[in-house]
Formats: sequence, structure tokens, C-alpha cells
Amino acid sequence: MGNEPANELRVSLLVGLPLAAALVAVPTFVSDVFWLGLGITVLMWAALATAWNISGGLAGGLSLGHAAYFGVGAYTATLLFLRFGISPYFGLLAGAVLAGALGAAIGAITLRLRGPFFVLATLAFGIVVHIAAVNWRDLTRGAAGLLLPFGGGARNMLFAGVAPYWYLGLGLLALTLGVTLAIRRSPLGYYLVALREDEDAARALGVKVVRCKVAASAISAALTACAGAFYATYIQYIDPSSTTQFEISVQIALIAIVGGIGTTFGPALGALVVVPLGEILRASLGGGPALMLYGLMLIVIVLAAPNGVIGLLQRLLSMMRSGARRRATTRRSRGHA
Amino acid sequence: MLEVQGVTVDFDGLRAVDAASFRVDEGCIVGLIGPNGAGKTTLFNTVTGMIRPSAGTVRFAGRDLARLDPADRSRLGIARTFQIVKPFGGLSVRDNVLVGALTRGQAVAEARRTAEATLERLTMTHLADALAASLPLALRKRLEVARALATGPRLLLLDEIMGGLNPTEVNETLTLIRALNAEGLTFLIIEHNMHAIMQIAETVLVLNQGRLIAEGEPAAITRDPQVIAVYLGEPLEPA
Repeated sequence: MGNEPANELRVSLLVGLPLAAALVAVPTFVSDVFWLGLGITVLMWAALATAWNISGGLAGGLSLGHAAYFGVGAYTATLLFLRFGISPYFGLLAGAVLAGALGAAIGAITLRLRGPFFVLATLAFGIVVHIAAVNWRDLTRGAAGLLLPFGGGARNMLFAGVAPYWYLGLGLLALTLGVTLAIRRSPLGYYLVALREDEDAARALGVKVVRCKVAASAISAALTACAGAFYATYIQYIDPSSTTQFEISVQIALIAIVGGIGTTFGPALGALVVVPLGEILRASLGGGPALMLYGLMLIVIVLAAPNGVIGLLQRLLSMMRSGARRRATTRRSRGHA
Repeated sequence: MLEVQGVTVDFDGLRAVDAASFRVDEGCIVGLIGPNGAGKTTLFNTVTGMIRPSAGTVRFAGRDLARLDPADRSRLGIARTFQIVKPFGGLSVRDNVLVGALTRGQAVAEARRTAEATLERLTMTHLADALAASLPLALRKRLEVARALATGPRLLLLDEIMGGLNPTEVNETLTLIRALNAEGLTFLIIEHNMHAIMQIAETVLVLNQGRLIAEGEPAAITRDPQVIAVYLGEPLEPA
């Protein structure tokens, strides 16, 4: 959980650039809609977990209400397009601004709460937004949902094929990771980690705790809403159960925790593990057995990697490194003998 | 510089501090002593803003602090250490200190230089990359001082930083306090190490059961019959 932004930047350039090039090329090689679709879903959840991690991981405020922001993004972009013909590109921005303001307001109210009380407050907030989405039928059409017209065109972020959404998803993930890296290198990033470690000490050093948490909450909410707008234009149909449902909040938090809470790349890695696991199990077993197996496998993952997938990777890497060093020393001593 | 006027703190009917008044002049070193549970740390907390007094005022540099939170007060120049140390355990020693420098408004690179200069001053440079959680208690106490110094304070409140230190470490700490004081830093120090505080303080305040029962030069305090009675009748070590 160390805060080593300079080091992380170097690693992200070394690993990130070739990886990014490979990711950009994926649709050229993968044309199967199932696999490309799975990839897009992974990208979306990776972006969501990364966005969640800004408030949930860096600021340490475990939120179980992020589906609310996801829903705000999805509904804002969809409704602005359906009612006023505003392109979802702008709808996405509007949703981000709206969710950011909501995140700041909710943040200002709930972030004074500590520990489990904060978690409960975010949970209640998420449920309130879900109930609103179900019952405010004049606006959302409730459980009937909203359909975006097929073939709205590239200008309206509504593509006929799947490949464009791969690139949009990639952009979304790059945005959330970029914002995370920028925060970690800024005073705000240091303040957030400091207040997560010890709030009283941070305060005594002059850190404006509430202001920092509100900022983190607003940024996290705005990015989550971007993913919501992306989801709406990708699936082209939204309803409360696919956007504001409690399970979505849990899934976002779960992925970030499995991947490595508080780290820059852990939450995205978590999506790479958790999402395909869930999807493949569902596709091969279906229904109940799949869910049970999914739950069991998550328990195994958390037991095997208590510091997240990224913690496990780091441990493996350092083991390999020290192993290589040992072998090199042995070779040298043999040479001398 | 610091004026505490009639400060009273009630915890659910228990009066922890009872109408305490005192002042700390700029450039001074003031000691605050008293038996366990006398209310020393509580009094500290009213100065730093962690506790709001039920009555009384705290003024710093002529300004009433009532409406200011701990962060505001830190930015005005009041820094503190915690008796029960509170390191940012998951951060390196350098980053712990860096946070203090950032709140002065320094950019990250500049704050890193301030942090490194502060660590050098406290002979902790070799520990800069260590995780704060890995430090033994004596070094965690020194880290508390480093972090507080990095905020660029005018008044430094030290809460028992010498407890658990060996005589050499105590002497090093006294030397550091004297040097910082010579540069203009004002000190208010809670200390159980009577020998140490009597050496360094110009004025000593004695707190017992929430009341200030004596105030004066160390030599006079050690002869004060009331103070001697509070310390179980044992004569205090002469300074």
C-alpha cells in the first residue's frame, strides 16, 4: 500500500506502453463477438473499480453505493439524448458533472461518519437512488427501462459494431488510471493516504480532512458516471436492475478489493480476474451452480491473496528476482572453485 | 504568543480541566508537568483544537482560535506531537514528513526537499525509505517531531517525547530543542522526565486534577510545598 508515485509512473510507462499498443490492436485479431464483448465488459468494470478506488481505496471510505453514480451517468446520457437529442458524448459530461456534484454533497454529509457508519450511509444512499429510479416513472419509465435507438451513429456514440466500444472502454480505463496517477502525484494524493492511515495525525499536520474526502468522493463519482454513460450507449438499453441495483455497488467494491485496494493498478487487475471468471462460469454452468462456484472461487482468491491480486503479483515478482540473484551467486561461487 | 484564559473541559460531568489560565511568550520554553490524569494532554488538545473547551478562550498571536479546526491551527503555526504516536504506518518515513511540508503550500518536489532537510536535522536520513510502521518506539517519537517541524511551526507542543528514551537520547533531544529555540521556535512541553524538563524549561506549569496549582521557574517549583505534596511527598530532583 506504499505511496510511490514516481516508481509507479516508471513501471506504468515500461509495462503500460507495449500493453496499450497490444490492447489497441485487439479488435484486429479478435472478431468473435463473445470474446470481444467479454473484453469490453472487463474494461468497463476495470474502469469502475479504478474510479471507486479513488474514494474507497485512496481515501479509505469503503462505499457500497457507487451504483447510484453509475445510474446517474447512464440515465443522464440516455435521457438527454432521448428527450433533447443531445449527443451522449455531451450527455456523458453532463452526467459526470451531476454525479460529481452529488458525490460532493453526499461526501460532505457522510464522510464525517467513521467506519461501519460510513459504509451503512453509502449503502442507504445507493438504495434511495435505486428506489427513485424504479418509482420515478415519468422520468425513468421505471422497470420498463429506456431503449436507445439502434444505429444512432458515431456522432451519437451509438455504433452498430462492437469494436468501437472496445476503444471507448479502453479510453475510459485510461482516463480513470490517468486521474488516479495524477492524484497520487499531487498533494491531494498524499493527504488522502495520510488521512486513511491516521485522521487525527493528518489533521494536526494541517490536512483539511473533509475537503480532501469530498474532493475524492466527487472525482470518484464523476468517473463512475462516465462508465454509466458508456454502459448505456454500449448496451443501448438501461433499467434500474442493470444500473442502480445494489449488486452493482457490491461488484464494484468487490473487484477493487480482490485486485488490491488503495493501489493504482490493482482494481483494474481485479476486473481481469473476477469478470471473466463470473462470465465464463455463467456461460458454461448457468444460474445457481455458477453463482455458488463463483462465490467459492472468490473466497479462495481472497484467502490466497489477502493484499489483492496485485499484492500476490508483487510477491511472486520479488521471489523470482531473489531466486535469480541466488542462482547467479551460486554460479559465480562455482566458477571460483 | 499563546494565551489560555479560563479554559474548562468537561467530559460527561467529569471536569478534566478547571479554569486553566496561562501564557507562553514568544521564544520561551514552557514546561507542563503533573501526575497522570491531571489533564495535561486534554489541555494540549484545547490548544490544537482537537477538543473544544466548555468555557474559556485560547488565543494565538492575538487571534481567538475558537472557530478554527486543528488543520487551520496547524496552518497558523501550531504544531504538535502525540503522546501515543500516530505514524502513517504504510508510508515511508520521508513521505510521513513530506505531508507536513505540503500543508505549508509547498509543491511536491519542494516538500520532498524540506522533508529530507528535516530528516537530516534529526539524523534520520538513513531511515528515509523505511516504512514508518517498521520503526521502534524511540524513532517513532522522533518521527513525530520531524513531521511537526516540517509544517514550519512557530509554536511546537511536545507531548512526552522523552518517555522511554535512554539518557543519551534524552540529551540529544534537549540539544535539539535548545537549538530550535535559539532559532526562534517557541515550546510548550509536557514531560514526565522531571530531570530533563527542569533543565530546559524557563517556566514550569504544574497541573493537578485539572487545576493549575503552581507556575514559576524550575528552581522555585521544586521547592513549592504544594507541588511536593502532589508528587507524593517526595522532594523533586534539583535542576
